[in-house]
Amino acid sequence: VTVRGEYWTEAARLAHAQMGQLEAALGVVRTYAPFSSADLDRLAQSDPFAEDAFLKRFEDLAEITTRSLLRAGLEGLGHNPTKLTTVVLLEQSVSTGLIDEALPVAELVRLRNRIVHDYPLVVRGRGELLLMAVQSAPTLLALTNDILNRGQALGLNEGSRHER
Amino acid sequence: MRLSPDQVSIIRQTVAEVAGPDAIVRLFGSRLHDELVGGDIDLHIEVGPERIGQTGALDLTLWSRLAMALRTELIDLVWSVRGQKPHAIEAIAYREGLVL
Repeated sequence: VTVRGEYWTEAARLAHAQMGQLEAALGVVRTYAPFSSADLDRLAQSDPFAEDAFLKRFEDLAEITTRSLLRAGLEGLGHNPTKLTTVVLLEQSVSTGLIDEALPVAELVRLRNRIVHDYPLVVRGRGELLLMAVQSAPTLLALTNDILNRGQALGLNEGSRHER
Repeated sequence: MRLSPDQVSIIRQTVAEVAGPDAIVRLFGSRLHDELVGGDIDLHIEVGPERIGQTGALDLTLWSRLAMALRTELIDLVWSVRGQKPHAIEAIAYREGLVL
């Protein structure tokens, strides 16, 4: 039996953990921006796994924040989030107050999808993609934090059960 | 072509607002074929050389706006800068695409 709000507690726990992971990776890679070919070479020499680690952590937090956390929030607020498209998920998240606007979140969805599907097959855009992820990381972290705070304000307290 | 007049209008207007009035948008891929069903909306966006280095950021903005306006995330965008040698997928879009 799943208690309403149970998913939120788990998604929030994952979000907190992944925020720390992304912040740590961001600290390593951002000093090499703006990621020209020379920048990427220097990064590869100093830490051959830093680029992949950063992108993977960005991808994971983007997935948790823009899908798991929002779905769990909707579920905790009494909606049925199963089989929602991204568009409907974002629309319902706005209407319930989990997020203010859909477009900035949709941009993070798109960037996450590009990291997953384009990288590293399209080498031409590698530096550009990495730079966009580095530039978007503070936005993603702030969004995650904001959704967690909004969820709490809406009664989705972490570690407690939300009953309506 | 399997796009409604309203969808075409939304795409043309959104591309112009995000990528500039001189951007050219082409539909290519499965949505060109009336006999098929479903499939992504594959769009090729051609921009001027002043947009070099900007297409990554433009992609995020355009995709997001189109997805919310058309109410589907099944949209794929391919970008070309006018005057640059096109990649394989871009060449297909130039060859087969229909300017909207």
